[in-house]
Amino acid sequence: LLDLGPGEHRPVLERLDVSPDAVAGGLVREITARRADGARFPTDLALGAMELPDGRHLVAMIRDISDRKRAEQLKDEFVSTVSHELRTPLTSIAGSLGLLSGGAAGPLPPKAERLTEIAHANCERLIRLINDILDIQKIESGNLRFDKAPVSLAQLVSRSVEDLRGYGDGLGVRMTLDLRSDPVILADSDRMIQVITNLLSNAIKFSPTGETVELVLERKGSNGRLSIRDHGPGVPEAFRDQIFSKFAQADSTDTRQKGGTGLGLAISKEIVERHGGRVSFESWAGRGATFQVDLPVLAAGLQRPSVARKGPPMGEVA
Amino acid sequence: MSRLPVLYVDDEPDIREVAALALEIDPDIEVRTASSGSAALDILKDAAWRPAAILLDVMMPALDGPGALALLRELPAHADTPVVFITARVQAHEKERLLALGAIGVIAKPFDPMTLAAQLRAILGGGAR
Repeated sequence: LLDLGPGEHRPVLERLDVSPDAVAGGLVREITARRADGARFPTDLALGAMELPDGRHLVAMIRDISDRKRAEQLKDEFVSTVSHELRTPLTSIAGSLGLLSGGAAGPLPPKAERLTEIAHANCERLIRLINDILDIQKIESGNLRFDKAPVSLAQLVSRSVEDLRGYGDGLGVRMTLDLRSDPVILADSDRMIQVITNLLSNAIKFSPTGETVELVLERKGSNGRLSIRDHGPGVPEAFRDQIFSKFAQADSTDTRQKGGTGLGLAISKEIVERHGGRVSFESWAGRGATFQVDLPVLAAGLQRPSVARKGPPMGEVA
Repeated sequence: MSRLPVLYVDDEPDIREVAALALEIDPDIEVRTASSGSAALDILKDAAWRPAAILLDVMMPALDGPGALALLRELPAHADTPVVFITARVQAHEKERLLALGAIGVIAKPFDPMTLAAQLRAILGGGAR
């Protein structure tokens, strides 16, 4: 614990590269510290300001977080190993079921066909869950990387709509796409399609049969804005603050009814923010929700979109 | 469509079998499988059967996919045979790394068995990825 009196702040603030104002509300940083013997170790530094009669004091609390860091690293390794080990048997199971339900082994009796479909759908759900867990682990360990290039946002949106057409048809939900503008953005196409697909599949999932999901792509100032509007039950008031948190679902029965992992929005938010953009939503109880993605548009001189390739969603390398 | 002999290399026997069945949905694809990088090289050294494409699992014990690719390129008959890596979902930069090793495509695991043959045909036909 350190107490820095008035006049002693500057070297510390300069070293941390923070302004005196930034400290006023309290500040926590992870920094690498050095022991007397020169060994380096990770610490949490909490800085706070305290107004005393002789002026402002800075109070710094430094905590050794080596144990926590080691535990985090073990957790990351564990999650990544388990997920990869789960994939191997799942590849055979999903492959076999896919061949059976695709008719590659000949026609099945109706009941067997239905059971195979159920097994196949749930196998794919498990694969999505593993992919989402791996993405979250990459985000938390700082290993989520992007391969960005100029790309037409309209193309990415159109492709996501195509990819989900079958899913929408299955639930009796239509999609309309209104392309008012064609903003070119700097993005990792696969990751941005992951975001759009996530928001769009949520909108379809929560739409009653016979309803329409409306997509609008337009220019808003220096941003391209994609709005996805559904006419489902809306986001419950109490849930709005946590909607972008991990494993957040409006109520526990939703997992079973809707088949989500509760990770999609947390991943989407991270991906969009790492592209300099923002995800937000508006919702009206009982009258649906609109999710919006704002992404900075590239300067005119750079507008050379790459062509988003069309391919089967499962086989694409994300 | 043209006849297409394909060598599928994976250390997991069940995945080999499923992949072979999936590829053979295309009646013109003829599949042989190998259970390791070195077993694949043995098949490739034998001039009796020449695959037109090689599908290589990336993670295999002993000789992995990239290692096998480097060795098979030393065989004069296979200096230019198209190689496609099969691997668990990889990030963009890892895909670039695999392509830079001399593969013409990367297919993600778990693959869609009903479209695996079509994906392979698309990669071979397109020349790029």
